[in-house]
Amino acid sequence: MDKKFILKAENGLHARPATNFVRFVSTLPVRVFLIYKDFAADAKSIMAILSIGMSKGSEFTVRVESENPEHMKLIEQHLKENQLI
Amino acid sequence: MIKGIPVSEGYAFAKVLRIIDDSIDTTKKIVSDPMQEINHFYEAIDKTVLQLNALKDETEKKFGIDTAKIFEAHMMIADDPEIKNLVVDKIKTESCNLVYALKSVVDFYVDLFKDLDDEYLKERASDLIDVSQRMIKNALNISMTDLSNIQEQVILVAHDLTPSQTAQIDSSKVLGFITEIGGKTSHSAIIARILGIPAVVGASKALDFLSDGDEIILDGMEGFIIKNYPLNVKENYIQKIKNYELQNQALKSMIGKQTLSMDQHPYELVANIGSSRDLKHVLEHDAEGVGLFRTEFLFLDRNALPSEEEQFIEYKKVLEKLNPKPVVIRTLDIGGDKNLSYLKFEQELNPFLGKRAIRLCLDEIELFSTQLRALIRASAYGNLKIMFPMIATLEEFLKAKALVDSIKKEFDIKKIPYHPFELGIMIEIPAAALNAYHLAKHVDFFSIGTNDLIQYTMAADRMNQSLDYLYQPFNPAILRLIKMVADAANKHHIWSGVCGEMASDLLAAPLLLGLGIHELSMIPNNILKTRKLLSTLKHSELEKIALNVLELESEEQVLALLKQYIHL
Repeated sequence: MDKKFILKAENGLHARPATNFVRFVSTLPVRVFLIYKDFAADAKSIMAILSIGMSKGSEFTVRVESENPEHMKLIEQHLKENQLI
Repeated sequence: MIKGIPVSEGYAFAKVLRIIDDSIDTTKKIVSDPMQEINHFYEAIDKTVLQLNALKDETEKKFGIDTAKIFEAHMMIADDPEIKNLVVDKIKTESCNLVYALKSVVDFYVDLFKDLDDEYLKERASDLIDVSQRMIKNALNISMTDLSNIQEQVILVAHDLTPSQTAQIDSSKVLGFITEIGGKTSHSAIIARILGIPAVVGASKALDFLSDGDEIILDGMEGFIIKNYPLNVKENYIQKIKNYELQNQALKSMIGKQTLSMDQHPYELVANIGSSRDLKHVLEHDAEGVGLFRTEFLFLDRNALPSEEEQFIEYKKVLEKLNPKPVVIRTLDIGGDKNLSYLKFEQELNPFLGKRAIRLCLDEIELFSTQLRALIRASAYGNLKIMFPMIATLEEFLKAKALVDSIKKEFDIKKIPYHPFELGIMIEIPAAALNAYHLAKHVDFFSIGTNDLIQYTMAADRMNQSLDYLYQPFNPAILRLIKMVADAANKHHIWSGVCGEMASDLLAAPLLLGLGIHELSMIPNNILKTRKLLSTLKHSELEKIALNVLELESEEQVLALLKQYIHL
């Protein structure tokens, strides 16, 4: 399941929000990717998501390897609560 | 002799001990049992995470939680699933040794980071290198350079000291250090200042210039690193060290004394703090209280507003510890460039002229009254003074005061205890300075935030480097505004202070007091130095100088006149 978002965080995806995001995604029992340009980053890897180099305004896709809409909803909620989108 | 950037004061005479990371063989080797190699890799990860966790605890004990946070990030990197998978895949597909596999994966990421447009992320490459070296050493069972186990007194010389290395420094053995790279704000510089040992950074080629065992002089005042010195240089430095120690002792002798001018005029020297963790510096440097307690840290880096209880505990801690010394707590100064993720902020074209500090608080009444309730409850535990930031008009102050009064009334009914406390304002907006005469009838004190007052008076953004020349603390225009505020306060028998950077400046401090300011709030480190300086000056003279200075035309002229009288 894919969904597109635009990164709104003022300083792009920096270590602290990225760390929180990785921690959160790691609690989900499914594989999650952040796709930006041609790169798909494992969202449970801090190195991977930092290295795709998103900045404010970047359009990215969240891919959840599950048909359960609940997972995508939770991720979207986390992103919103942390003002990433 | 070579020269670097001095980042921590003091002198040291000692032998050189160089920290050179032995080149580890990371060339590719074919292994017969890749599975065994993979197991080794997992063991190395576990060992690394355990070590980092121990380092984190140790660092937190020694240097506080903020300094220790870096190791949390390091632990996450060490345990990163993507790096793990890539290394394991590489070992499997190429039947290669794990050190080579790890090194190539790390290099790949380091290159990626270095290519990014973001300065902040570029620097993360060094964290990754620090962690990966630790993992490689663990995998090869090479012991870490153990800085905690140095037997004789030395000066450390390294290309760079990593956070994991500086955490182990024992200042009874390590008398100072030198690094080839870095600047005033690098991690190692901060640690050196906390430890109180001299340090020089950015001394390129220091590792080539020096050999292990060289007897050197490290000059943390000027940044000199001297070897093969003739006797007269040595004697010269022995004299310098004596003077420096005498000076330090003289400073220590100021502990416990009242701050008085030579002609016995009293002043108050207090400290700026950012949280209760800074209390130890306040006590160590004998501040006479706190003149600015910034409360922003309670609100930053979190997902929801701090509760009344949480805030109350923090305020109470500071008030109780310093009681009966005064503690000026500033209500939330946020908005503009500093946002909170859990509050909606409108995009503003001109954030510094936008909805920040009191303007925001008066619009977010729930946030504001939660903070005020916590403060008023805490007043029962010490000598509290509440300060509102960014006041431009009397109405703003009266609105804030009305809110305080309504909370007091509620507390009276509910029998929640509080003590009487003062209510004051920060003067950072020229309008408030110009109107100080009227404001003084309503408030209990003024504290001038010089940094903002200068930027608003000169209409020059402090962050804009091309406008640096307009940041003129000694411009007569600024001094006249300060004079108006001090006069208004004295006229209405309330006190006035300065809590901006000017208060920490040894040339500006006496001038401010001469202008009629009573209290200076500064970085704790400067309290004793300022107290000592003031004891050598006459208040009556300072008043005269202040009047003369107001008649001058430019900052340049003001500085020239001040330097004639105040010898630093």
